[in-house]
Amino acid sequence: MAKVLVAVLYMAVVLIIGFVSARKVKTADSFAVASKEIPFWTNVYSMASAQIGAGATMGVASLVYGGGISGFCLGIGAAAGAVFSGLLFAQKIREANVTTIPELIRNNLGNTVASIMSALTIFMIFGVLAAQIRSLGTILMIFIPSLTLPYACIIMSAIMLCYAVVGGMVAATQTDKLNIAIMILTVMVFIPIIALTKVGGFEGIVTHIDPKYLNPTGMGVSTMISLMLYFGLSGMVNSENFLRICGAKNAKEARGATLTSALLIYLPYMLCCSVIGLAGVLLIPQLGTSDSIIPAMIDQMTGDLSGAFLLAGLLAAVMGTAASVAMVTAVTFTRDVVKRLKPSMDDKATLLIQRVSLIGFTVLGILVAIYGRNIVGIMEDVGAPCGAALVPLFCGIFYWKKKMNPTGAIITIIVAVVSTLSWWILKGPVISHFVFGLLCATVTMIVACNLTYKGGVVEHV
Amino acid sequence: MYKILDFLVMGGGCAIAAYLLFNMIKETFNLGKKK
Repeated sequence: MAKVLVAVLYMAVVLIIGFVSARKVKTADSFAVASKEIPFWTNVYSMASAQIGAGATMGVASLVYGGGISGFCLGIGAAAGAVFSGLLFAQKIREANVTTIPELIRNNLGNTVASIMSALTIFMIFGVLAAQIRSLGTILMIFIPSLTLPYACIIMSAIMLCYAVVGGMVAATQTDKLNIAIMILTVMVFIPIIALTKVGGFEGIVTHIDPKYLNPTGMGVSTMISLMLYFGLSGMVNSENFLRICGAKNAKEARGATLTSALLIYLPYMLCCSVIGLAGVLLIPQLGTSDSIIPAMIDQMTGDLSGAFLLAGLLAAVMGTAASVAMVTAVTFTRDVVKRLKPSMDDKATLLIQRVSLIGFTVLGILVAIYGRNIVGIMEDVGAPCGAALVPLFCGIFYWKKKMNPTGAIITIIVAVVSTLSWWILKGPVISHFVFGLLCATVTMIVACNLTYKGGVVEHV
Repeated sequence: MYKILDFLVMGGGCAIAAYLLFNMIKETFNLGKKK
């Protein structure tokens, strides 16, 4: 009963923040990037909250619980991606003064390339949205065990939609502060202390755990490299961070906030998730699905009231990411697809379409969440073709601008999508479909852009 | 060595959490800024 009450209380707080923040939203621009005035620390928490979703919180703990300390490779890869994003791109993105990745591509490679990438980007973010909705449903089922997955997903999506639709990015950044505060206390303070105390510290873990869990390459080197590359590179060109970088006051703050959130929150946070997963092997050896190790640890290791509070914290983290990716999907679709078809659309109509498409994508996300195979699978399978095309193009635009041209870019995108999907369907050996597609796309981009480069000013298609 | 690891994980988590929450409260309520 206490858990349900805390869940209801949490949802009420989220809604109130959304409605209060809604009063600040007057234009489509403030809806999308909070009028580019997000203060430094608010932006740090907002970035961290976007990164700490289902992938970091439940994914890392789940990998370590299932495969031992080698599972932390996901954390290392993801954190490295976030750091490189700050070092290599944050300042340049903010200086470019654009809101979405397709907008950046349009300015550099023309409308045709941007339209193709818009469609691919929407699929990629949509996969993440569906994965977050599935996580929200899974966590709510710990609060209310009698709920089935479809009902749990629908209820949590409705709550997420309420404040995202009403408050937009302003509401998301305001709620992020609450989410990240609870999550930091839960994953970095309470649960590691409780878990390590119960297993007798690291000495207890090393003494009692099966030695296979302590093998640094237990998952297999190729799987580890694939995981690190996928989560590292897709994090480096993360659309959610892109929106937050654009919301920073200036380029210097954008870079600083990205690095601070990666090094001070993201990396230590995932290390704590790994410790929880490792301790979970000893504390809850029989678990139906490794995905639910963190919620199960909270549920079984804490009392009714404190457990309910900490579960609300986990719910808060995934809620923040879900609302954020839903926002990015809606903004990308409105600005890069609808507004391109109807350029004369005024600000009021743009805002309306952003809100309506937000609802539409969430409904579709619920369906994929219910019928998809699992959280990480949805993200990786849907995101791989877009990631394989986007990473080389993104690097090329900022660091090989001279020879980048629309024809070479279109050939690169086609090769990326075809090679990734072929490797996935044919179940190619050794490397993952993302890594194979990435290698093919990078080589293609270098060759194609060199061959099609005509010198002088590039004419956009 | 294991004791040091325990201390780093538990103490480090608390220290980072305290620093972040301090900054969050400071910025949210505009503390320490000249009006």
